[in-house]
Formats: sequence, structure tokens, C-alpha cells
Amino acid sequence: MKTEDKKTLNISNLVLEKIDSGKIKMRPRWKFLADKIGLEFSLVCVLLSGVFVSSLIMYYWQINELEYYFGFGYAGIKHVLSSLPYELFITVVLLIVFLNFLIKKMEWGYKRSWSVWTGVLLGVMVLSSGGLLAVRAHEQFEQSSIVNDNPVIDNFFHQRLRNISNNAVYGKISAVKNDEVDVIENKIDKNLKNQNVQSSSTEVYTIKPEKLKINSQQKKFEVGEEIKIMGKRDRDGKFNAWGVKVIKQKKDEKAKDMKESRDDNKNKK
Amino acid sequence: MEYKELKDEELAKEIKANNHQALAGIIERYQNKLFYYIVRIIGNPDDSQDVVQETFLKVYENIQGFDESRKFSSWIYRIAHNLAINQVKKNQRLSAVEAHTLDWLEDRVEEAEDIVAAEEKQRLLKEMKENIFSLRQEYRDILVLYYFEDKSYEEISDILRIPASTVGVWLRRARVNLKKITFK
Repeated sequence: MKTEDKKTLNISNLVLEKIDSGKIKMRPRWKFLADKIGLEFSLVCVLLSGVFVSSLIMYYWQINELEYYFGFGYAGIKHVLSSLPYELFITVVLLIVFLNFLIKKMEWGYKRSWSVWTGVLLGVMVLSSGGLLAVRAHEQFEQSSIVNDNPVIDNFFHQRLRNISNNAVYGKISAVKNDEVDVIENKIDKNLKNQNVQSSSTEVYTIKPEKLKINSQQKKFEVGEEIKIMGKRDRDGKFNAWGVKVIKQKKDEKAKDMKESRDDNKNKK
Repeated sequence: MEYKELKDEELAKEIKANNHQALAGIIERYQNKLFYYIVRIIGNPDDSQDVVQETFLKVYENIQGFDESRKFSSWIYRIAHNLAINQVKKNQRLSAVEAHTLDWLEDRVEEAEDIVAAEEKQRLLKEMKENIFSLRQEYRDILVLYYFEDKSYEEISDILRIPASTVGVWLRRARVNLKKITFK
């Protein structure tokens, strides 16, 4: 072994001299505690913001009943994609990136990989958002924005989050002609004060079912049936329909359908 | 008090109480270990000595932030590692390794003889000595910590701040890369 070349250090005097000279000072404990608390507080705040924003996305899905639109295939997906509040999705992604950054700064953050933390954060956000939806937190929040006359939040909910449902018409079929169907609109109270009470509107829409996509097994429409017309209003306020979804079949029609299917089954046997 | 008998974490507690003798004890215990570790990262013994000094000054400065329930050696290696990487960035000497650095490494391989039992490990150490500076920084760090410093996956994870599973992956890749370089 070439021990003669082996270098051994003896720097303790040098280090202690520098410390004794007062150039290097011990950082007080409270500063480390303040750093830690600040970091943990930021983490909780950002996580709560993430939960809130992701719950808004779920609320958006719920109030606009997006699942109906996906039943219309490409046309429905295109309609949804052109209306999505992308700023919410971008915010969630940015918050997750920021949360990952904060977690990496924590003492324990490096113990798991980026992908694991992202999965955990998404899981927490989705579960907590589901909880917020279950207790109808957003509806109360939206309602309070109306009561407190907060135009910014009110506008956000009505113009941005309800953009798809605002462009759909709920109504009852009032007349069926040769190739046309008249629908009397049932407007949901936009003020949300009586959300469950539907106030009737005299506005009548005439649609030509042959030119529309119909998300139902039913071929013929009956007076009294409740339907949802999907479409978009142009700048002049003209409603351009592209699809129809039957919400509630007329009771006797439904019973007739069931009877027919029972008879069919019997004949097959 | 006999500081030689105290554990690192107990010495750290003493340093927190501004006991300079305890700090001297820690310096004595770690100065050579850290020096050789830093030499392998920086590739220059003169700079390495400065970094070792700086490491102990940082230890003193930040000792109140050390959690005594954790391993002190991982904490001090982490500080040394960060300072060494900063020095590498400052010097930009990653590719220009001075010839005598390899002699230092040769010495370390010989010193390691008594603790390295397996022939395979010995061969690998020699290969590493010759080729380690051609590797990417993170692979070099892993190999140095695992083979030269005899650190466990968990300790390497604490020093490099990466998940323990990643340590295994990087170590495997580092070995493959080292083989490629050696048999090129």
C-alpha cells in the first residue's frame, strides 16, 4: 500500500478558528421551524386549492350532464371539447406541478418518485372533490354568490361552468307534425333560488328530428314527452339544434314499449 | 467527556449546545472520509480540501436544523455532496481530470483491499478507477457511494435525495455504462 502518498487532513483548527472569529454563526432553531411551518402551510393551501379547482371540474360535468353528450359520438365529443373550461384543467396541472415542487422540498419528499406523488395527489383531489359534490358545496357556493350579488363569481358559474347546459333546451313536446316537432321550453330557474322548481316559458322550438342525431331507441315522438335538445346559440340568439335526447318517455308509451318487448320474448319462446 | 465514545447523533446534540470540542470530534471523524468522497466528485484534491472545510462550516451553521432521529452521516454526506456539485459546476472540470487524481483513486483501491473481500468487487473498483470520470454525474455518485463509501441503498437515497428504488435502477445502469466504457 502506498501509505506515504496517502493524504490525511487536519482541518479542525482551521474550521474552529473561522467559527471563533465570528464569521460563521449558527442559524437559530426558530428559523428552521419557521421554514418548515411555512412549507407545510403552503403545501396545505395549494392542496386545498387543487381540491377546489378539481371539484369545479367535476361540478361542471355534473351540471352539464356531459355523459349525455358522449352518447352522441363524435358530434357530442366535439361539442364538449369546444366548450370545456380549459383554464380549470390548466390550473389543476399547474397546481400538481407546484405541489410536487413543494413535496420535493419537504424532508420526506424524495422518498417517493414524481409519478407516485402525482398519483397520490390526483387521488386525494378526486376523492375530496367527490366529497364536496356529495355535500352540494358548490351549489351552496353558487347560491351565496347570487344572494351576495357577487358578479364575478356569479358570472363565472353561469357563463363559464353552465355554458353547455345554457345551450341546451329542456322541454315538453307540444305537437307532432309530419316532419316537425314543437317543443315548449321548461326553463330551469336561472336564479337558482328555487332550483328544483321549474318555471314554464312560452318559448316554442320547432325541430326537424330527421335532421338531428337522436340518442334514443325511439323512432317516433309523442306529445307530452320530455326531451333535451342539444345545440348552440349564434350571436343573434338563434338556436341551432344538432341532437335530441329523450329524458322521459310518456308513461303510456313506455308501458306500451314494455308490453311489446314482453310479447316479443313470449313469441320467441 | 470522551467524545470518541459518543455516537454521531450524540455529538450533533453537543454541537447544538455550542460545544466546539464536539465539533472537533466530528471533524476528526469525517474529514478524511469526506475528502476522498469529494475528490471523486470534483477530481481535484486542492478544491476538495476547501469543500471539506466548507462542509464543516455548513454543518455548524445548520446543525439546529438536523433531526437527531435521522442518521448524521447521511446528513453530512448530503451537505458535502451539494457543495461538491456546486464546485463542479463552478469549475466545469467534469471532463478535465488531472492525472494525479487517478493516483489518489489507486490509493483508495489499495486501502480498500482489506475491506473488499470479493474478487469481483476488486475488479470492479479497478475498472471504476479508470473509467468513472467518463460516466454521467449521477451514475458516478451512485458508484462512489455504493462501492467506495459502502453506503446502503437507504443511505444513498438520503444523501442523493432520490427514492431507494431509483438507487437500484441507477446503480444497475451505472454498472452497464461502466462496462460499455471499459470494453469499448
